[in-house]
Amino acid sequence: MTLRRRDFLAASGVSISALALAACSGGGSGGGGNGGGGGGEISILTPEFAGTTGKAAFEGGILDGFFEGSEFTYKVDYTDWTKLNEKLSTSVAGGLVADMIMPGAGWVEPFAHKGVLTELPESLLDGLPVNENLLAQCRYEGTLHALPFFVDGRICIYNREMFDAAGIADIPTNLDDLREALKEVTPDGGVGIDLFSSNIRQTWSHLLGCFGGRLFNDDGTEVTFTDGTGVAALQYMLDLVADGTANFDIKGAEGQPRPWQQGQAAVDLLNSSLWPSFTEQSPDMVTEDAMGMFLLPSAEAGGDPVMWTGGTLLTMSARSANPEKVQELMSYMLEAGPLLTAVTESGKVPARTDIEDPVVTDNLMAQYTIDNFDYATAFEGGSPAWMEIRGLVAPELEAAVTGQKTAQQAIDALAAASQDALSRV
Amino acid sequence: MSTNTVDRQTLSTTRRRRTPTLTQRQGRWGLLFAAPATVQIALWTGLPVLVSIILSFTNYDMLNPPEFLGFDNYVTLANDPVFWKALGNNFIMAIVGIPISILISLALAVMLNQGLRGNSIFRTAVFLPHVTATVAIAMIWLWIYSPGGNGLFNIVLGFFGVPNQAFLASPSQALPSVILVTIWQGIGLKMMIYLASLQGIDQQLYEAADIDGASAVQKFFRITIPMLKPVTFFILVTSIVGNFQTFDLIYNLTNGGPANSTTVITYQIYQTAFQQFRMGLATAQSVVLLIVLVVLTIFSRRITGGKDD
Amino acid sequence: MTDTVFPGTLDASAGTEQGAAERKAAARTAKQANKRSASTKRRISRVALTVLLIVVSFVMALPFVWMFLTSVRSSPEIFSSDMPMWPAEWHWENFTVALERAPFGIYARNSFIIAVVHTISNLVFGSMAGYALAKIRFKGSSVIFGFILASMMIPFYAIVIPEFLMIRFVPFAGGNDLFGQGGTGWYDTWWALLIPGLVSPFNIFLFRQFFISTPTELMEAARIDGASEARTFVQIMAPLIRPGMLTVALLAFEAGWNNFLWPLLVTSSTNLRTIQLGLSVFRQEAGTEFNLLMAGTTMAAVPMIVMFFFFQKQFVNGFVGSGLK
Repeated sequence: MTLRRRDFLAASGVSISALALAACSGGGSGGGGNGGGGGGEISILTPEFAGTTGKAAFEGGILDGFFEGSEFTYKVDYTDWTKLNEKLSTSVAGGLVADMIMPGAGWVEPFAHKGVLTELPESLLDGLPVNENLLAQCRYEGTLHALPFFVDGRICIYNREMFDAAGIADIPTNLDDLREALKEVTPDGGVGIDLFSSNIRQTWSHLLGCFGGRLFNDDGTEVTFTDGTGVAALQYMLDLVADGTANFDIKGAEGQPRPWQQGQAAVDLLNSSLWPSFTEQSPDMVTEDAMGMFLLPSAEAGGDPVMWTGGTLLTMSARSANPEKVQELMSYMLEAGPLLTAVTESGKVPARTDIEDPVVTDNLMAQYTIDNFDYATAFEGGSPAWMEIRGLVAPELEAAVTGQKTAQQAIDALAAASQDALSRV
Repeated sequence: MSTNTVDRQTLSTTRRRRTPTLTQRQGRWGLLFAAPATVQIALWTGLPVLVSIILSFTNYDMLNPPEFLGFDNYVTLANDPVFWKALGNNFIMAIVGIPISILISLALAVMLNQGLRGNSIFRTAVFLPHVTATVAIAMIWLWIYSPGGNGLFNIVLGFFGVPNQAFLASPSQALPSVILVTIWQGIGLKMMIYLASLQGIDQQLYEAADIDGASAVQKFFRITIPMLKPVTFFILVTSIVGNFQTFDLIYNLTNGGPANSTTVITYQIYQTAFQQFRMGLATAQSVVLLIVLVVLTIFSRRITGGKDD
Repeated sequence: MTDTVFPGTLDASAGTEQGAAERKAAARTAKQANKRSASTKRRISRVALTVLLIVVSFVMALPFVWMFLTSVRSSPEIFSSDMPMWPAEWHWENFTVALERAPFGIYARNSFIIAVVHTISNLVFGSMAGYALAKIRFKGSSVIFGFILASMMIPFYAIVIPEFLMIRFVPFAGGNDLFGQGGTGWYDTWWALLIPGLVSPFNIFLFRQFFISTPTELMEAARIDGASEARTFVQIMAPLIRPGMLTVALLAFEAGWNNFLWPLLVTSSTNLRTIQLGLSVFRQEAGTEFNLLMAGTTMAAVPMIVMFFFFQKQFVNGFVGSGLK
């Protein structure tokens, strides 16, 4: 009895002290402990390159080439996209965070703000054929914290046959024209445009851009979608629903085809990274003859169209013991050869504009995205409070789309909740 | 028979004389038997829970050291309508779903314990949802509930002239739709535990009842139900706990939507902790959940029959 | 304990051989008396029952069947607007293609090791604790029981960080010093996968509830015969709850086999990852390969189904048998 109690106390005592230490240091001691000049291990946390072929492409095709003959070795931790946050936060809490992390757009500001990601020298961009528009999502407080690797462009694809049948020859160049055109092309029992298969938050922020709005001000301390653009964007969605040209009920759930693939939608607002899936699932529909593409137009006649962009970024941990080597690796990964290897494996859009390989040029969605980098805008992120805010958006939009709130009420509620989150930063 | 009685008398006097030492000896063995598991759980669950409780009074974000906040997190929760909505949804799911699924699984267990032809196939079929990955389960239910004309339920309803229903896309129908899936998914495990427990009932009880001329219904209510009491307590408590910890299904089926109509407390905890990085607030949510569950467990102990369970 | 709930237990188990035989004989006569009128009725009710069970089984098994059918379809078929219920062509190669997409051999081995270790530890430690809590009166038993119940009630997401830190700061492991500093502890080792899940409170609770229904008299009798407590437990009491043991074994194996989030968080090497993590290969951000995902998911579920099939065969002596047959 006494023995047991002593054992137990000893065990819990050791653990509590360890936990207390961990909490106080915030994992500050850093993992690995192989810092300094003469070599070491570069650890990489990536949600890309899953599976046997991904690993072969990344390690055999890219990393081996870089580390060959160097004093450094590498270790890749492949994680699930949906579990990147869990992986990242546990490893940061435990002080075992990887040297290089490959997050998505929107991660940069919050994690840079929390001191997890560190600044990168602007010189990394020297001579890199990357559109300046793609760098907005890479900067925090004006300084570079990430490099774009893959890009996701949100584009509209349309069914040419349906457009021809409706006699629509010219692609609409403003949102009002688009709304009218959609009324013509809507198939029986379907929708003119599928707004809801993609993330509703992203669709709204895309339309926000079409109305000339932004989520946050430049330093990410205040919401700016309260200037009427947020309501206008949401109201546009509601108008399409009222017209019967968009429908919250008609959307592709996981495991089911998207309405566009089934001829139930004339236009699909989708991510360019879906190309490999579409070519495998519906090869006949994504040929140049069957499918056309356009960007969501501006609300104003004569305005520029808008391409919502996200992507996979290269970032560096603030605790990395070998920052120079990590930056070298980043530069290497963005060289045309290694990037092509990565693109060949993933079917995604490269951040460089100069890759003239069939892998890119035959990928209609990728090439279209690259051709439109001038209209690219990142709408995810923009504030250190983004991680808190982004989860608040969809429920409010859904409340409006399902008729529980007006556009104004939904945006007001969202603005209030967002300001609350911003005030805590 | 008479020797038997005598034996018993001697036995009980001996026992009474030796009681203190026996109890002491037993007590030591009891502790010894319970110790390994208790220490293990104290270390790997109890300690983290303790830390979580402490963290619920801080602004811990997992990335930086925590700062003490007092009861701020709890005040935040008290004023958070989504948190209350989630808690309410859990209560609705529990009140509607648990009694139905316990009754169905008990009925199935009894039916599947009768040595019918094809028993093994039936039992395995009923158990299948339990071993099917939630991702796959979510995908087929998304198809069944699909609001367009191609969903299974809408095809069936259309046959009877009922217009298309939105199901998971409707804020009012989404929660009932989710509850149906939880019932369907939970039956297999409960059925199996009931089946295992039915095996332990002494056959002589039924034979004795036969002599008394008891009907099948009487035997069921006088013998089967009382003998299943301990396991029913287990099933009730674990169902409540499981219900309040529903996560995977919501995550894969609805993401809490539309408009938070299917959000549940564990989904909120996940969102708060790993999407918003407010671990302090998430642990406060967990502490509230813990309190709710403790109260509900005490309550279920009452309704399944006193402290002997 | 159970005596108060059902006084009959004592008589039944303590009754003499002779008494039981008499009762059986009486029951037989009673049965024969209304045999003729009952037999037709019974046949009808059996048919009705079988039909009902066929319907229920169909509803329960439908998603699994759908999953299997999806696993042999071609991708274009799944995404065509008029997908036939029955696959037009059976693409069995989906299974081999799926297996090549990730090192599933290693993943399956890892999941299997975790499942076996957790099954054994849950059976041994869980049954001991469940027995003590159900059958032995000792100081603190109700506190321990309450504690075990409470430990099921905090969701994993709330305790994952402290648990992770414990793994990472284990003293003297992975290059750590006494205070858990300097190295990586059990991070990315087998210990991290095996140790925290050795005993589940859920299983202790289940064991306790199974032991409660066992007759206390047997235990007391064994004590009178001079058997040690350990022997009483192993030779007399534990065999009484064989169905409970089987249930826990199945559940513990399943939990170990399907482990997902924890192995992802505490490992970084591919050769320590588990089968469920392997399946996420088919579910990428850009889209899901449903046929391969379903092929993989089906294969991952098969061991559990086979185990359950043989496991439930142990449940034979239908209790209604004595009443209805």
